Amino acid sequence: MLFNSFEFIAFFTIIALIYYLLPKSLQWIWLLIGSIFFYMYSQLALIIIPLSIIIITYLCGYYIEKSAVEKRKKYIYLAGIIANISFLLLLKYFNFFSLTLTSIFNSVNTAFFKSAEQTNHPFLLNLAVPLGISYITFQAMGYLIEVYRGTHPAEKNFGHFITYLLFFPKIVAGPVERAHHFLPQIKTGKSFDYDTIVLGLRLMLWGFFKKLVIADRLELYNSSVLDNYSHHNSITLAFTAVLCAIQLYADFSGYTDIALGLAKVLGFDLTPNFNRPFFSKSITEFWRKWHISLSKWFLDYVYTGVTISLRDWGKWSPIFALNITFILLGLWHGPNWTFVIFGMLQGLALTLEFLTRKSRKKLREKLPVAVNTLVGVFITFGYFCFSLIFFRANSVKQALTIIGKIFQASKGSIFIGSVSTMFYAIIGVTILFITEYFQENHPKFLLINNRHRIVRHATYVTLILLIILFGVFNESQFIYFKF
Amino acid sequence: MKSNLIKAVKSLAIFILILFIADRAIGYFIEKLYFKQKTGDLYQTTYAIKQAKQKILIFGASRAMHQYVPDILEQKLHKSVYNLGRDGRNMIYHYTVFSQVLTYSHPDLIIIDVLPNEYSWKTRKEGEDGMISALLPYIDYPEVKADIGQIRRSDIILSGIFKTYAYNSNLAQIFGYNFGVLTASKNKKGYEPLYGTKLTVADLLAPGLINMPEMNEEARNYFKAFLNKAKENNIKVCVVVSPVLPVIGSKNCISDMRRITEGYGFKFYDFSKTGAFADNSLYYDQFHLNDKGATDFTGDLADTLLAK
Repeated sequence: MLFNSFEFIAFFTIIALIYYLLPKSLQWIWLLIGSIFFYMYSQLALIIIPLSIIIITYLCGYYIEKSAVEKRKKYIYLAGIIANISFLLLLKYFNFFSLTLTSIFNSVNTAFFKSAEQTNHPFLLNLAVPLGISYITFQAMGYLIEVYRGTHPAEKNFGHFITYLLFFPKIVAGPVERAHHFLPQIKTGKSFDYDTIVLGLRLMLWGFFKKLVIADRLELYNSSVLDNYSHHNSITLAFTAVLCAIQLYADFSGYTDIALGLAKVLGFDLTPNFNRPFFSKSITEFWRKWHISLSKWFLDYVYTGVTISLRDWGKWSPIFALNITFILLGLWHGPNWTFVIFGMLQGLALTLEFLTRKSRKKLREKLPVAVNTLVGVFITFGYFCFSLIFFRANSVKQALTIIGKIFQASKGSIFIGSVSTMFYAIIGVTILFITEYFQENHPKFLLINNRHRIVRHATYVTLILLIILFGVFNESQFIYFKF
Repeated sequence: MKSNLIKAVKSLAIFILILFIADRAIGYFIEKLYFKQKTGDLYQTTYAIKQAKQKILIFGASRAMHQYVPDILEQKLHKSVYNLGRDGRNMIYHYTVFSQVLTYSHPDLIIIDVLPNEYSWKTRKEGEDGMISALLPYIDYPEVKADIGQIRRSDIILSGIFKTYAYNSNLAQIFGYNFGVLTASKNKKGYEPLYGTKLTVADLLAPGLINMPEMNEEARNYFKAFLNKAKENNIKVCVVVSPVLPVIGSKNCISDMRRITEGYGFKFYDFSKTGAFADNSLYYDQFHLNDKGATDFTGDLADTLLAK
């Protein structure tokens, strides 16, 4: 059930209406029923997998806290973490590793034993990947780490715990919600609050605008170029790389706004995932503003852990930790080398920024602020667009071919495709960037949150009519749903 | 809680009223502009839906619209002709438009231009989206409404709620043709010539093989349904694969279309490999003849029709 479908709108309306009619003590049960229905509507039988993960994590958390012996605590904790990783590896990454190992084995075989005919075939599993598996396991592991560290108590109410991990607005593509932020919210009943609901609906409206008007419109152009990338020239491919970055942002931040809005209507606060990342002046700043809940998870549970355990390495400790963290973050997106390289490129940029931080600071002091900002934003955005070629490509070979064609600087004019598609996309992108520019630089200038009702209503109506007139209504999936 | 609820209901009512008024006002304004057009892509559909009463009608996508010259066919065949081709549409669209034409007219002959890979739509959805976006402004016509409803019921609901929804994704063209930013040929009976060539050296050196996805069974069924409808209404059909520069994948598709067409007792002509159209100067791009090429091709087609 996609957020941008009629089924979902009907489902959510029923959920929200009954939710506020119920006594506060029963509200979470209704949310749990709704979340299970939402999951089973898409993947009926596969609910067994998230439920298994939840049961294992709940029991581990419970016994970690209960156990008085430190060693035993540790074993239970490790068992919980291994169980979660095993689910993820088996369901999402098994075929990737099997293919990689077989390919290495065959290459060695051919190189050293000259037996090219005797190639080995990989052992592959034909398993369906459960919806939101990466998000569920990461939240579950985060919970176990917090319980083990003693920074969060183990949840005693199993119903609350399932609701935390299956909560339907965030189950498919996050945010990666922390237990200490979410679980207390389940425990308090919610009253119907007009202002909170309106805030949620505003977020949803803006999210739908980003998804339907910008992301899905840009997808029409981007896929038409990338499906035939070998026939396009360098300027078209470079332009498409930029549009792919904007599309991904509009799609994912649009999804996040809708998810946050849905939760807000039900009285819940979810962690924001984006903070105008394209205004970042460095890759370091960028990753503080892009997919915040996931990068924070990796920062807290991977980067910090590796840095501390390798503190004897001096300045190489954070560098190593950075690179490991971003390779894993890349791989988190899916079982493909393209994602690994995407992560490596982020790690590389962050390493360079770390090593040159002093010289860059000196340089910045000599340049006017405006120049610093412009150059920083331009380089950061350009580098992200470049790395995203790997993110978007189906294979490393395809990504390298596209990059090769971009740097060949082949002649010819830019491919526009359908003029009207480009026209509508430009309208959407312009509105997005103007809005974000004002949010970044003139936060007091408000339209959708303006204190005058006329301005607010005019903005809602304009946004709705823009969605109706320029939106793409083909119920396409959100990009991050596949991760 | 109660005061909150009253506030919410009051606000919602005011908001819905403002939205309703704005949508209707803008919707009526766009509707006026839409049906005021006398040329261009959108007008092609309006003409097909309301007034294509000629004896010979040409269906197809851009390769119909830019390659069949009605005047030449009229001269040689002595019958009235209109080209109903429209850029970027496929058999789902043609089928519905044909059904609608049959509600007010009975042509003698239908010429339908098919791609050498007509069945190989990237996805069925692409064809459906193309059909729906082109035909939503005509939702009041029962044939159109029924066909759209079968594909995506949500579009019927949305266009019932929002008057502006029928013109989704068409605003640029509506304004463009009404205010002279976009122009199209007048009095060419639906034919839209392409002049000169934009073939590049790379296109000429390596026209290459354009690989297309495998056959799509739904697309095949729509093709059969189109021919079936013509057969039921005793209308002759001539299926044509017009000239094309690159080698487009799937020989199976052409032979299957030929088999189906001839199975209905209709004629099938494949010009895609005709030597006379191997001359690059006749092409606007790899897939479309220019005006000179279209004139030659239409003449050849008329002669073929006369000879058989």
